[in-house]
Amino acid sequence: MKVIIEGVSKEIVMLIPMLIGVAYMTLGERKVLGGMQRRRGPNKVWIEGVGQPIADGIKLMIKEGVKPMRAEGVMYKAGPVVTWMLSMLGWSVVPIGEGEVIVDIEVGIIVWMSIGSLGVYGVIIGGWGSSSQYSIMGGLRSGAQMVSYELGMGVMMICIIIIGGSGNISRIVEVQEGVWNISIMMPVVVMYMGVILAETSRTPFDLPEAEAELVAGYNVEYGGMGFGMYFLAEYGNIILMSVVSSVIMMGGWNSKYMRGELVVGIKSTIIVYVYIWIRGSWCRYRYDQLMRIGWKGVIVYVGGYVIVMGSIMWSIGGVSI
Amino acid sequence: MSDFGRGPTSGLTGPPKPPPHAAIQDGPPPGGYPPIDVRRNLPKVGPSGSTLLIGVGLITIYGFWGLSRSAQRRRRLNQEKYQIRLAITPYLQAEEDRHTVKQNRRRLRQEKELMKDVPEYQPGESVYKTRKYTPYVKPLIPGVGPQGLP
Repeated sequence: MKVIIEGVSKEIVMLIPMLIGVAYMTLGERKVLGGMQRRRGPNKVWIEGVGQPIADGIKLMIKEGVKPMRAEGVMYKAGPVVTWMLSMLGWSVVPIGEGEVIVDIEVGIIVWMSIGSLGVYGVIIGGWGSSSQYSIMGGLRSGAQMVSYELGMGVMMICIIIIGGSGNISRIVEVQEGVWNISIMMPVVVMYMGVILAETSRTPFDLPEAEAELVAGYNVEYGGMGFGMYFLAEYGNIILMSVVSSVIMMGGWNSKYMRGELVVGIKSTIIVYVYIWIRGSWCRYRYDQLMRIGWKGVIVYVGGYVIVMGSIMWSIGGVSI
Repeated sequence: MSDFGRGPTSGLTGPPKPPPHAAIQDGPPPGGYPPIDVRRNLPKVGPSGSTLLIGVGLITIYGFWGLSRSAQRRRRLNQEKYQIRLAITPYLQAEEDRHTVKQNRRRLRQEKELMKDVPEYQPGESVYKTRKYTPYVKPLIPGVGPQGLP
């Protein structure tokens, strides 16, 4: 009983701030994009639009859920739930401070990647369950994109595991006490940024959201809270990806001057800002360009870098124990 | 009046008339046109490619250098931990031996007490027929085999 209460309370302590973070990330994104386009962004609800995310949430919640007549009932309902659950589940192995993790396991990074890979199912189920040609094609498109960039991500994680000498994320942070992994990964860091953008379906790889030219994507038949769950999952994934990147690449909570959690928060916020900045600056890739970048660019170059980096790590004797 | 100003009655002199048999044609100027500049005039933004390459190389070298330093430090710390363990091994072994002797005495006493009704029983005698003696030694240093010290 004690274990269950402890686990549930840990989850709640982790997830509620995360959900608030998701809500306010949408506001922050609209404000930053507004600033980049010389307008003010949301500014009517409460003080300078601070209440906007709450208003949006309430609007989505009280909206009637309209199910298309031909949609597969269970699948149609399961799609958003699966996506959202997997997005939340990813937090279970990700530490946000020294020892502040729900489960600290030796294969943490692999478990996190597998949960991320399962996220494809939510998209495919939602796209197929809607029984619409546009949504099923969108689902296939997004699924192919996610699967392609999983591979690049996996090769990056091999680099990280070789550097850290372990799959335990806390251990990887411990090893970064001297230098951050980002300096070792510098030759592939631009590709890393591209991969995490594509994994979370963000600009310039946001084909699932290309409404004008591709009729949006897998979520075209969803409205109300179904859409809301997809939305939450997407932004939750962005925040999760930023936290993981700050932990495995940017030194995590190693700091002499501040509390570890605060350091992780600041670094993650910087990465989230870069996400929004890229969205404000770049246009979308075409689908064939996206596939070419994934298969002929990222995997090949990062695979080559694994060999180079592995040889150098072998010559310096690795980071033992 | 569409041809106002063009006719002979306007009183103005038009352009000088060409000789009747010369071709009237738009040709290139003498010596030909200047070459067209087809180069794209993009503004140069940021550092050049070679600067970026060198910078990335330097940062990577710094990263590996720092990592090797921290790995060496970690290795020294591990070695120290191992040597400390090695240094206190005799004391740990002595305590273990003392404990074993006490345990054996207690076992013998209990065996005598238990088997006092059986006259032919020799307390303390091994139940095995083998003559080989293998003391039980706990692995005092993890990772150095089950026999403890080599």
